[in-house]
Amino acid sequence: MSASASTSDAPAGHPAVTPPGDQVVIDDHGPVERRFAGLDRRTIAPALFVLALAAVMTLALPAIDDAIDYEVEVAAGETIELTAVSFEAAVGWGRLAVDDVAAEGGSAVIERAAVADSTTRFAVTTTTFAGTASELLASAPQLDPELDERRGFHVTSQPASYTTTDGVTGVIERFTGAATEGFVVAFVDDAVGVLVVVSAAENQLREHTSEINDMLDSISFHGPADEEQS
Amino acid sequence: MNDVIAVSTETKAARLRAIDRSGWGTSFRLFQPDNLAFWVYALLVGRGAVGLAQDWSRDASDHGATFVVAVLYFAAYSVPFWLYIRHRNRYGSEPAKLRAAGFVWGGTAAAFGLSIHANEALSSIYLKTFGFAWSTDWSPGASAPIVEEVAKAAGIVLLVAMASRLVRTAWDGAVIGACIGLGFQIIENITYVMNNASGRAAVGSEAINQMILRSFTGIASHVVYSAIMGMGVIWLWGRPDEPRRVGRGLFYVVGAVVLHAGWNTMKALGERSDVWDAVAPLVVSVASLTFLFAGLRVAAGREREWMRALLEPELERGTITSEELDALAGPRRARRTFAKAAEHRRERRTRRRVFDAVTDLAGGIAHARGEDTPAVEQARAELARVRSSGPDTN
Repeated sequence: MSASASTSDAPAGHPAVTPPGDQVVIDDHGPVERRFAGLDRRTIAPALFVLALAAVMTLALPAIDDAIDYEVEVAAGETIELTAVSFEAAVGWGRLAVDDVAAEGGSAVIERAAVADSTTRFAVTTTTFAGTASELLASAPQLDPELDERRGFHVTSQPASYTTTDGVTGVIERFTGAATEGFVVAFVDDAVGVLVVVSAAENQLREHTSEINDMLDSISFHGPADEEQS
Repeated sequence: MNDVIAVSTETKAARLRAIDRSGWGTSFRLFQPDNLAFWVYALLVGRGAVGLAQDWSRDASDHGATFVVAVLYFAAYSVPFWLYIRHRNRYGSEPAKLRAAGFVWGGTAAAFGLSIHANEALSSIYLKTFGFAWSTDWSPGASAPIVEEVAKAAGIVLLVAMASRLVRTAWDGAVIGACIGLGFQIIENITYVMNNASGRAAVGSEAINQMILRSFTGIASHVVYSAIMGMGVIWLWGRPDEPRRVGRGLFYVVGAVVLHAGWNTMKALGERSDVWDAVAPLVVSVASLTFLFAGLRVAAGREREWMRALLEPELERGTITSEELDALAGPRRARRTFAKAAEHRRERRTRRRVFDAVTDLAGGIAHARGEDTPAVEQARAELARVRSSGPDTN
C-alpha cells in the first residue's frame, strides 16, 4: 500500500512511484550515492556498451575496409581500354580478373573488363555483332555469366532507350538475379556490340549511383561510327 | 460502497507486489538528462535522422510522386503491425511512448545511423577477401543479418536502461524489439522502393512492383527477428524478475541472426536447389514465426503470474469469475476456450467484450496502484454493463 513500495532496482531513498491512485511517473533522478558526474551510474555501462558497438560499426569496420586493398585498384584518371570501347572506372574500385574469351565457333571475339566495389559490379563486354541493340540485349545472357538464368536472372522492366554522352543510343533493361539486382545496357556501334552490366546485392545499387552514372557517361566508342558522331 | 466487500489482506498485498514488480501503470519519460543511455540514444537517433533526411530529401526532389506514395503506403502498411503489437502487449507494460521510442530507433539509428555504414564496409571487406562471386552470393547473408540485428539489439539495451521499471521480462523485450523491427522494416521498405525509382536504371514501374513485393516479404521479417532478439537480450542480460539464462539468451540472439541470414541467403541457395528455391520463403517464414511464438510462450509465464495476482482481489469481490481470470491470466488456449465456450454467436461476442472489459479493468487497477479510484470503479461498472447486456441484447 505504501508509496515507497519499490522494485528491486528502484533508486533507494527516492520514492519509486507516486502515491497510489495517481498516474505513476518514473523518477529519472538516480539516488545520490549512485551518481557519477551527475549521471545515474547504473546507466553508464549499457550506454558505453552501445557506444562501443556504434564505434565498431561506424568507425572500426570502415577503417578495416580502407586498410584492405583490392588486388588491382583503379587509380585516379585511369581509363580502361578495350579494343572498341573505353571507360573511366571509379577511383578506388577494384579491377576484377576477367579473361578475354573467344565465343563458341570462334567467329566472335568477346572482350570484357569489370570493376567492383562492395557488392556492386560494373562490367563492359564487347563482341562483334551484326544485329540491333535490342537483339544484342536479347542475347545478353550468353555474353555475361551474371545474366545466366540458372543464377535466377530475369528481366523486370520493359526495354527503354538510353543515350550516352557520346550520342550513341542503346537499350536498357532492369533485371534481378539470384541475389542481385541491376540493369543491362546494350549498344551496337559499327558492328561492335557493347554490353554494360551493372549488378549489386539488393539495396546496394543506389549507394553507388553517382559512380555508376559517371562510368556510364565516360564510355567512349572507338572507330568510324564514333568519328561520325563527332 | 465497494469497501464493504471483503478482500483479504494477502491478495491485496500480492496485487501491490505484482504492480511493483511488473511496472504496469508506470509511464515512460523520454527526456532523462541524468541517464547516459538517453544521451547515447539521442546521439545515434540524431545521426540516423540526419542520414534519413538526406536520403529522403534526395528522393523527394528526384521522384516526388513515388516518394509520397511509398511513404503513405508504408505508413498505412505499418498500422496492422502496430495494432497487433499493441494487442500482444495486453499486459500493458509498455506505454505507447516507449514503443514509439523503439520504432524511432529502428527507423533512424539502427537503419541509417549504424547498419548502412557497417553493411557497406563489411560487404566491401568480403569482396576484397573472398572475391566477387562469393561476395555476391553470400555477403547479403553474412553481413546484413549480423549488422542489422546488432544495431536493433543496441536499441533494446538502451531502452532497457531508459525504462528499467517497465522492461522487466523477456515478454517486454519482445514487445520493444518488435517496435524497433517495425521502424526498421518500414524505413527499409521505403528505401528499397526508392532504390528502384532512382538512377539511370529507373525504367518501367519497378517501384510499384517493389512496393507489392516488400509488403509480402515484410510480414515475417524484421518485426519477428527483432522480437526474438528482444527476448534473447533480456534472457542474456537478466532482469530482477527474469533471471539471467545465458544459454537460452544466446540461443535466441543467435537464432534471430540465423533466421535473418536464412532469409537473405534464400536466393543464393535456391540457385543450387530448385526445391529449396520453391519452398524457402515459406519454410523460413514458418520457422521464424514458430521460433517467435515458442519464445513468447516461455516469456509469458511471469506476466501471467502477475496478472493473476493483480485480478485475484476482483475474484474475491465477485467482479470477475474464475473462468474470466483463467482466460486473462492463462495461455492462449484458455482464452480461446473462454471465447468458444458459448453456444451462440452473440454470446461469444459478449464474452469477447467481457474479456476486453476485464483487460481494461486490469489496466485501470495497475494505473491506480490497486486503489479504488473513480476510473477503476468505472471500469468495474463497464464490465458489469457489458456482462449484463447478455446474448439477447444488441
